Amino acid sequence: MNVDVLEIVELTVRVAAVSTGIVIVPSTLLGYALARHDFPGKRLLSTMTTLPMVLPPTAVGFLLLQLLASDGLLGRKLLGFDLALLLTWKAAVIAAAVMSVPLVVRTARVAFEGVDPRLEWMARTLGYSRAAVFFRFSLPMARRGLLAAVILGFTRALGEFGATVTIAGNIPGRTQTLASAIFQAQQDGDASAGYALMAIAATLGFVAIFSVEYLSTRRPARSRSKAGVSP
Amino acid sequence: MSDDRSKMAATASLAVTVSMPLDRFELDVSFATTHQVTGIFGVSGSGKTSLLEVIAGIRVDARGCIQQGEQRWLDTDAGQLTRSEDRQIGYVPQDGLLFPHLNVRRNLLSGCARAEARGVKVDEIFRTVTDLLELSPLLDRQVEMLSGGERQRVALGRAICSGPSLLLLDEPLAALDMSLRRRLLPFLRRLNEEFSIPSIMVSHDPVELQALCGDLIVLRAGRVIARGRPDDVLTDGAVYSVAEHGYENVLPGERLAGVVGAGRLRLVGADPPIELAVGSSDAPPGTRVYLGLPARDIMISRDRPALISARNIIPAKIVALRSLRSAELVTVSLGASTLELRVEVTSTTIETLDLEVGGQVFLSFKATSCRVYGESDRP
Amino acid sequence: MNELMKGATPNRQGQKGFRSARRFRRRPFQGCSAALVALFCWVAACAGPEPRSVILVAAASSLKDVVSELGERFERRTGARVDFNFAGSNILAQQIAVADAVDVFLSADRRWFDFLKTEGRIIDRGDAVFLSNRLVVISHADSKLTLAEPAGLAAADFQHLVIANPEAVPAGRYSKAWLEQVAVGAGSLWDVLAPKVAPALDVRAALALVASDPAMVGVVYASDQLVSERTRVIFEPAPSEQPAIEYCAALISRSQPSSVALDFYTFLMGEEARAAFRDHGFEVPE
Repeated sequence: MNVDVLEIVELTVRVAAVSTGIVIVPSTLLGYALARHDFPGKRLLSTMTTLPMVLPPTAVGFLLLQLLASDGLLGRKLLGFDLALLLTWKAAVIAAAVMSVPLVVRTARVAFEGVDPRLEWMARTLGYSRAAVFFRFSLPMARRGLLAAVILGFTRALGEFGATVTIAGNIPGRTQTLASAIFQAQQDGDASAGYALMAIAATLGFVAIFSVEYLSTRRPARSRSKAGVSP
Repeated sequence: MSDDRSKMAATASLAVTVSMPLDRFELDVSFATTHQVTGIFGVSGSGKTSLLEVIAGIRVDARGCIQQGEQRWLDTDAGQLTRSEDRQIGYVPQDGLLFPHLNVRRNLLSGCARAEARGVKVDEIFRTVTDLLELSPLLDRQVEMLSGGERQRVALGRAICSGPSLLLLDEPLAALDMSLRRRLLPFLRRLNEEFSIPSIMVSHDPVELQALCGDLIVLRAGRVIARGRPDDVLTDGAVYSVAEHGYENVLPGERLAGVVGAGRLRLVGADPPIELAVGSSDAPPGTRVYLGLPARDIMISRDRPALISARNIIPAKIVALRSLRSAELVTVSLGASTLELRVEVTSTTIETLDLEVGGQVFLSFKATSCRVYGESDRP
Repeated sequence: MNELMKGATPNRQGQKGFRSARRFRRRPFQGCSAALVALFCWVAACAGPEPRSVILVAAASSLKDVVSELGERFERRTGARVDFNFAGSNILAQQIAVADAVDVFLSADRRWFDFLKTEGRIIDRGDAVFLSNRLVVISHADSKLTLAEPAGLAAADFQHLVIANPEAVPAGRYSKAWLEQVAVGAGSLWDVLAPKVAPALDVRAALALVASDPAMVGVVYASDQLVSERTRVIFEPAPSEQPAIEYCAALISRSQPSSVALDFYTFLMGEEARAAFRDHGFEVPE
């Protein structure tokens, strides 16, 4: 087995962590807006953010490549300087972020939809502004669902391959993530490496899904204490 | 403390003129009030909750004008709309709406930032509220572990601890069963007496409204159809069908020491003092209660009845006679006080007994006809 | 005021305090902030561009074993770091065309070298051909297939003919070119076998497929077959029948050139490297 497992795992986790870090705040806000507000273009926005989930990852990779190429909209020729993202781990972050946004937004939206909007109105009658209500009430009340959103986004980023390999390549030490390393091991006929990497990927995935399950079904409401005693 | 109280009680006037389309009709309401507790009465679906939401600023699609004290909360013509968070109201909905992620203490204090900003001393208010509403044993509990009555008490406490200048109570006891509601009545009364925050209370329970409100507005299909003192409005034929429900007199009272098997109650504000025989209970003497006396259970006589089984016989003077659909309502006053009772009789009785305004009569009713509200069965 | 929020029960005797509601949610917030700071530091440590003592070499996948080994030797001697990206020359060339990340390009044919030359990405250093190779027809080690002549493939019993993508990958194009010039009946071997052709991502992918299934037959480089223990050569075309396989080496022009790249390039052209190439089954021109 001639793969540096530790290096691959470190890179993969780093890419997934940064990707999730970039994605979580805008996606939470967007999820809140979609859950609570009606505005012109809402359906269009919702569809656009879901798009990466339904497009093949290679299609998303293709689009990103056109964007970041030297003659693309974000390329050296138009911007005047080189973003230097292609074939670097930062490109892997971008690919992972784009692919995980739909999942995070969707999960965050569901989390906020699970919060009774009347509770937010109650907070407003108590003197909190809209922004204060969001931070002190909406977020804490939705925190389980939001944590699930983070975990799912992180897991999706961990497993991202198609778009990553297109704009970041499959360079060991620089952009070879767990997914691309497994692919490489299969191509090379390196079965032991393949199994080892697959075991790690399965473990990470298992832990993630288990956590999400745990969060969704924690602590059913306890029954009322001695009903009828005190009014 | 009185500074805070007067701050909260200062601007007691509220003037509302709003119209807004609802599902089945248009809400079109105009009233002004300076009473401390104003009641709004109506059947479900008459627009009461929507009206309250407009006043609270939760619904912003109404046209018209709302003025509270010196603040103008809504003025559609001038394009003025004060946001809900700037209106300094305490809102208590039917289901309490406690914050599930906070325990009782934090729920109670969730509005304290606003109270502090108004210069209200929150820790004193907090202490008073927890005492009055008997919330001390519950302070560290999670919301999901509270009973319905406990939740409503916490909701009330939260509203008051936020130092509002107007309390909006949307059927605060409706979600509870009847006996629970009767037991919570004194909590509401205590809060009124202690804090005197101007309140609008929506209810479809006439006993609550009579016990707590000084002024009553009746809504039907989004419009005000009656206005006045609760006992006047509720016996108005257009408002409340006496024949079906039967009118119940509600008066403030105080428990007195009783003997085994028999309780005694003093009518508050009676002059000369009136003591009544009522059912017994374990409540200590001095407990403030409400006496509920159905109009149909009172008998009228010209002379003081002698050998009669009713244990309560009191003199009264007729002040009004009103004819309703299938009965007559006789309004009597008790002694020199402002206390009044209404008695339901048949029209023949009026003739037979020759009852007329100004006449002196005697009222008789059994101890068992007296309902006592506001006592818990805690030792 | 401070005690109330902490949970002391107010009672008539004590004057308990109260803490501002602003500090409601302090602890989880602090936890999150700490995590974000740690993440930021970790990322900042990795965030800069690669120092110029690190170079990226894009090489055709058939060169994987020999060039990796040469890279390790170079690293040990110079202390520089050489990263490799092995894939089909077509993919690599297209990546180089749009990104400024690769220092040295080792292509398996002229076509992709010329493509980049047209794009202006290559530093001209004269004739670039530095290596050659031979094609072999392979099957799974357990297969009983024997071949006396290439035309025999037309009738042989196998399911798929695995080659690298014949449209773009050099190995595939070479394979197709060879199959097209083997006459079978009225047409060529390529015409006959076309329905059975299974294109793979690159020549090493083709090798892995043949190594996994006895029903496959493939065409790869002689140097590839040496690497695999689970395949065997069933036919090798004579030198006169082989297509002209030309590996080209190129120094890619970068906005910030690196002397390490030039050193490695020179190293690859040197005697030590040539010996290594020969050992791995490549053909080294004089």
